[in-house]
Amino acid sequence: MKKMNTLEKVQKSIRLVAVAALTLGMVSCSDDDNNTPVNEEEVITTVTVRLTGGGQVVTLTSRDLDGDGPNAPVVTASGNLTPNTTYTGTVSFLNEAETPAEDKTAEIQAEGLEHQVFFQPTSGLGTFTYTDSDSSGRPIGLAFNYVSGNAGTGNLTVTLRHMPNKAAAGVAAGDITNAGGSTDVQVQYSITIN
Amino acid sequence: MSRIFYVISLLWGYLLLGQHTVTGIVYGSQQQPLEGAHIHLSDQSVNAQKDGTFQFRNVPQGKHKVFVTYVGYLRKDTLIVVTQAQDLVLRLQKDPVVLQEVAVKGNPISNKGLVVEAKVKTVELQRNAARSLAEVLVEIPGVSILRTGSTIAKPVIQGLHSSRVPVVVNGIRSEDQQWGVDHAPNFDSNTAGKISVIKGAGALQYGGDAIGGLILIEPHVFAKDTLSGSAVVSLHSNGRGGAVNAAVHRGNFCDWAWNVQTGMKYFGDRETPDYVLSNSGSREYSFSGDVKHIGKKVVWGAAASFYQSQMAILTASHIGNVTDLYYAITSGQPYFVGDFGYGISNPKQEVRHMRGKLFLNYTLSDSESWNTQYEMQYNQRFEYDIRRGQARNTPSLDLTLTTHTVLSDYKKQTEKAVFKAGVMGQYQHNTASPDTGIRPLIPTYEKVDFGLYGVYQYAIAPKWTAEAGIRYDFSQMMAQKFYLKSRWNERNYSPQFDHFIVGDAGTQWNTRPEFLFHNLSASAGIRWNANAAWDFLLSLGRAVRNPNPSELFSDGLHHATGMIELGDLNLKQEKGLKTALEINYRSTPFTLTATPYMNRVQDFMYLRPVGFETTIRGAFPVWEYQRTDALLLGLDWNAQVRWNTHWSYGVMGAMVYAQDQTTDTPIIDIPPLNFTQHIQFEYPQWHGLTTQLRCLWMTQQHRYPNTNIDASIVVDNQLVPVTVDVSTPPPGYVLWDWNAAITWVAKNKSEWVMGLGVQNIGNTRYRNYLNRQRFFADEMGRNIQVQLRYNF
Repeated sequence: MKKMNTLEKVQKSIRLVAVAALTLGMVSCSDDDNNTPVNEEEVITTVTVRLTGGGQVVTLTSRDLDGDGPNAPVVTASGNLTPNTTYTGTVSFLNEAETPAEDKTAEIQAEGLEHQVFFQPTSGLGTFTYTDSDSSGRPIGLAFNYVSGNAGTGNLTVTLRHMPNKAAAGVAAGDITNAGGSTDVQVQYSITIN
Repeated sequence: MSRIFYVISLLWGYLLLGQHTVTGIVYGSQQQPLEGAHIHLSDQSVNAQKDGTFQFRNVPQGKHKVFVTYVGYLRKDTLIVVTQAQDLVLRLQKDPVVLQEVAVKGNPISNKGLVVEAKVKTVELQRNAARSLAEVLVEIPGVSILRTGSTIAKPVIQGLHSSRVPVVVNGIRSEDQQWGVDHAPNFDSNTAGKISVIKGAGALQYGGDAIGGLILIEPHVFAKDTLSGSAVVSLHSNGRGGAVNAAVHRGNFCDWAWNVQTGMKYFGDRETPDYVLSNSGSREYSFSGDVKHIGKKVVWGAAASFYQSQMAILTASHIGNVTDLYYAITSGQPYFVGDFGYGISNPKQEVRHMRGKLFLNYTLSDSESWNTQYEMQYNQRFEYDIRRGQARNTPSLDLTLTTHTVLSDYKKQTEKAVFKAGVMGQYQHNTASPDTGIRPLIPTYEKVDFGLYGVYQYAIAPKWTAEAGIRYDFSQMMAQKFYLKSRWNERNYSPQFDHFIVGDAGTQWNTRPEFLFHNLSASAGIRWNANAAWDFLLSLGRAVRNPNPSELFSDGLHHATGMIELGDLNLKQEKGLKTALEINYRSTPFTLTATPYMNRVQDFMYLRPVGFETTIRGAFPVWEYQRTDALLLGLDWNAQVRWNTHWSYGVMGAMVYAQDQTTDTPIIDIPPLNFTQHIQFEYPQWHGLTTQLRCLWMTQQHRYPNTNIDASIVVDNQLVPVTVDVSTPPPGYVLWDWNAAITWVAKNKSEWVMGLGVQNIGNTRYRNYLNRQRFFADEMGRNIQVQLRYNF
């Protein structure tokens, strides 16, 4: 230990006196050594869209390992899509901040009434149709069909809404405009159709 | 809301018109009632009853000389200004020292010194039994409310709030996570005997960091040796709820005095003119009690209180990112509107605040006293969000704050001077529970504070009084926090703060930041009682405030606002220099109080938008705590005209000009120019009927910084860039309120008071710039209020 300078000594003694005066007969009841970081089990770090069709599998991934931290998500696509092809699609949500990674998709499926996934491709890049449903017969969006458009490039925005109003106009058909609720996930993939 | 009118009570009193009853009580220096004391009021005189009480009827409005004599005691001279029925507390001193003229304001003599102070009238406190502390305080000009929805309300004094406006309860500052703009004071206004606002930085006795001002809450003091009490029921149509309250007091009986009070508030969803504000109910429970032994030289006792509240947060205000905010703003309607209900679901806040106190007042001589108190405060705060899965019922924020405070104050009052000095020690421990599954907004920390002050007041000439004071504060904070390594780098904390790192936890650093502050604050004031009509008080105060935990440590997404908020370990103390001039004019039939002020705050800490960060939830605007130099100029005023015994009219208002001097832009969230007018009719012969019509005019705030956000929104299923307008304040509005009250006095002197009120009579649709949920929903519509009070 290095030697304390006078100021530090004064500070220490003031602190000591104050603590002594204040904790007369009082025992601090909590142990403040929180040596484990908070386990952020709810966090979604990774969103993967898997498209199967035309004899190929294309995987789009957005991965943000520091959650709300400053680093932006890393977005990758495993390949290009084929024009005017019908793909069967799934979307999955992982928490890769945990070891081993935790799959949050089942939780969203289980709470299907409170969740919906929305897909917004750039105009002309195709259309999405839901193929799953919650217990009231409205889509969740974890499974879908995608019919690709003509050759081109653009973006696909995938949004997971918590507590949307699925009964609002257009929402069950995939229009997010009137959905309300709060956004749990919003990722943007670059896609190329050729 | 049935705010009607309030009285600015000054140290030297106040003048009004009409004829009134003046009652009071005479004490000796050991708090014993002095039976048979002669009380002279102008040309009338009476003797005090066995319990020390007395009464003068039909006292004309205006200034009156009062003197009290009692064998073995000093004659006490004082000047009172009768503005309404008054209740005086007169204390005689044994020592043959001539006392200076003391102000009597219908309350115990103010020891606060030369500070710009305004008090909430008791009648307002009682009428607003079902409302929050902030909603009661708004009766004072210059006080506004910073809201989060319809349930959470925080007082704003002359444009500043939160850490800049401490709430002092019975001498000790309330430690209830007051830094948070959406954290309401954990206090039930029904437990207060007296609530006042000090609009300067001058009250050094209570701390040196009140940059904006102080809210001072004092307990009930009952002198009568009989049992007295009250029971109140208030019912409100909006929210379909109300409050019940009961209190029993026993004043000095066989040397013992005690008070107990308990209350409950219960509300369901509030309603706007057009829709239900789903999930806007609230619950509040409070209990307080104290007991004291009044000896010849020593008064000692204990006090305890408990406060608990549960406040729902509008479902539709729960948003995930800027896109959600854009939709909320453009749709102009909450995305979720359900049927009325009493239930409270997530998001919500739950708080508990407990206080336990021991005190000892020792009268050293008739001119000297020494007071010591110890208080423990225990505060718990849980904030619940809408979450998934097993976390559904886990709070998102779980803080436990324990504070131990010891105060010791000495006071010496002589013929011409008052000297006060004191010492304060405080230990605080905050635990941010890691079990929430969300990285906490503020960390676990320990804090030690120590303060010393001295204030000297001197009557330098017959019409002049001056005061000067100085205070030193020491504060040391030791925190424990995990920082994401990516955040640590983004903040450029390395290598400057690398010595705080004590461990490596994978993607995070385990850190032990420590801070040490030495602060010097000071105040000065001078009062000139120019003549019967005019008096002036000039007060000057320097306050120094340490950065609070959120300013230092915030480092993540604030779900309620859809913003990433970043603290800064580099922040230093902010230093305010506030000059206020209080001008009082009293004549027949006109009275006026005006308070122009200037507050310069160096290194003013505030949140400033600095850019964007993209996360898996989408893009978020990033706001960072930065320092700047702020200038606040303003004027509060209150004017009244009393035409005759029945009719009176008043207008109060406030304006603030607040400028960030570094960027030369307006400061955000400053209350706009506002006026409150009332016309009052009183008819005492008919069961003391009082009725008022009141009109609040809130103008639009035109001075605001542009903090708009650029975002990409889906339109016709395509992403298009848009501007999310979060800065433009809503238009101004006018609200009308009415209320009336009548009183029946029973033979045994108990009384029944019946009150009726209507707030927002026109069911006006409006939004309030100082409501953080103004993007999501309108304010409450019409409310009809009925209140029945029984006093005995």
